[in-house]
Amino acid sequence: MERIRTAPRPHWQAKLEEIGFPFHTEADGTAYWDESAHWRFSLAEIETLEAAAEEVYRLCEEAVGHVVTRGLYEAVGLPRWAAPAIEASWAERDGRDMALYARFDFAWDGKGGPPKALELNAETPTSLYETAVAQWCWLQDVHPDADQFNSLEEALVERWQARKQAFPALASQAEAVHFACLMPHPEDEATIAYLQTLALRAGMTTKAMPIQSIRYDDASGHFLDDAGLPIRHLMKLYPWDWMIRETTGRELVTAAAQGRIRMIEPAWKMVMASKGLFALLWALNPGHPNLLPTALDRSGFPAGSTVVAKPLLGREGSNVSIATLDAAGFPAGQPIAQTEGPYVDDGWVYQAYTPLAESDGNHAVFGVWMAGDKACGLGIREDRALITGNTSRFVPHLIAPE
Amino acid sequence: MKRSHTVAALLLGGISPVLFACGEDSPEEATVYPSVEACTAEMPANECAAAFATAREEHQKSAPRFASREACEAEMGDGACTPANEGGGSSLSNVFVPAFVGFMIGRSLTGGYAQPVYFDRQGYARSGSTRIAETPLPPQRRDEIRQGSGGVASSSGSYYRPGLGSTGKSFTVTTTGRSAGFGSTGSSRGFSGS
Repeated sequence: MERIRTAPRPHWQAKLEEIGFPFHTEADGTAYWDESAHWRFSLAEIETLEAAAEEVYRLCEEAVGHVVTRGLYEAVGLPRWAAPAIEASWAERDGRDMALYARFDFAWDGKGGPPKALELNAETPTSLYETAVAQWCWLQDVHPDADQFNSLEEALVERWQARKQAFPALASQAEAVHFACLMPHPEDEATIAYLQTLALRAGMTTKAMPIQSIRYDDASGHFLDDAGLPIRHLMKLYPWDWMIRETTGRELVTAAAQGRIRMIEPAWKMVMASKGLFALLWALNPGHPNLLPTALDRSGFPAGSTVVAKPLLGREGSNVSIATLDAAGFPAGQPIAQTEGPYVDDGWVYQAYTPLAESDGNHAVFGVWMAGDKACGLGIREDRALITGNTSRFVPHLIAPE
Repeated sequence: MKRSHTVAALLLGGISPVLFACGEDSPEEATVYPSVEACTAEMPANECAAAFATAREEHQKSAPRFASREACEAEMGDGACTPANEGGGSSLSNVFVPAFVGFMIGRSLTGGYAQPVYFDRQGYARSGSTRIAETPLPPQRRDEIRQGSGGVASSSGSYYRPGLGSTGKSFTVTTTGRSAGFGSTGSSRGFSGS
């Protein structure tokens, strides 16, 4: 793999705006979409990432099963009372409560060692449109004969088609899929609109709405949309672990457990989305080449090891710190890097530090997209800092012709 | 090949879909056209006409049906409806369907497709899905021809409620239940995914 500096396309901002991606520049004027460089991979490297993602996803599914069958919800930061929805959906994970998508973050420098999975964003993965559309169009403009690890759009349409197969009422369009996110929120609304479009392509009836407008009818036990109609299928770009703690969270758990509402992602994805799952993964698969030593406490790491601390239910790279530990498992001196944020309440997970791919002072994390259990795309985020956050730049990639 | 054959898609910003396609020289793109005329500016007229016919056939086959223009507009919006059988002149002469706001044409390695796209007043977006080169599926049974005013059509499981046309064009939503309260955590934290 190689990071190659290139001149951006003339009028690249306008090109992105034309395809419905106006979010290319941060509020402070720095680029979020960064085509002053791209990463070039060999097909063999891409296939290594693809295989690693599918392997670790399989292990993640096993670990979710381990949590569900043993009721280990506290270990992943979730309340036990959410279990009915998690368990009911897990039982139907191959059918009516199938997963839609997820995104791994991998660290890999391509210098002989295997890719290491840092985490799995199993519920509300960001950078979908950048990956599926913006970098596809970039490739089409700049290197139309090259390939890219990016069948994400086709794979998601297939997932919607699979869901339609599982629900005759969706196939007949007697029922619709509602798409909800915080509104106003231009980026999330664009993501929702894109997902909605893919569901339309699969032949379903859809409706987008603000998640704040959802109502609950105590008499019928149904959640209602802003037209007063029952919501049967809800794709929410919003975390389960927040929803269950909001006003009607317990009603949602009950409705989902009883199949009155089908959630996308399903409730079992709460378990998969917890950073704590990676501690369980390591305990179940110690020494696995695609995993890093990970634990819920620091005492198991040898003195002098460099460890990353992350909130169990954290997001966007917030509240992450990297430090070298002393013999008692405490940070020795100042952290090597750390970020601020609001995620300080629900416990921590500790993971051995491994370097990201680095070039010219840019640290790149490789986001491998999953549609169900199939790896189907790659989106790269770069930062000058060691910790990838929500303003880290998106950099396109291509697969070099053989 | 490890990339999608096409990524063209429409963004559903409000009531009308926004067209975009990238890689204009690509033979593998999908485009939404508001009319056959707009299509023929870019594509052979016979292909446009065939795609439009396919999309319209799909639309008329699966579109929600209403017993009057008033009933249709009550749900779909003012001026949004057309007779279902333009030129047909049959017993269905007073049936109205929403006009679709555009049609999507795609050409990919797996064959072309055409889809009608339209919205109703309540914000539901629908599309049919028919591949041009394939034999059409038998029409699905639809039992949703509506009574116009205060009707009694069975609508369980349908998103098209009867009876809303009785007061003319104004459409008001009956609010039932209570706010579910979702979104409060993210509103205070500025959520943007992970």
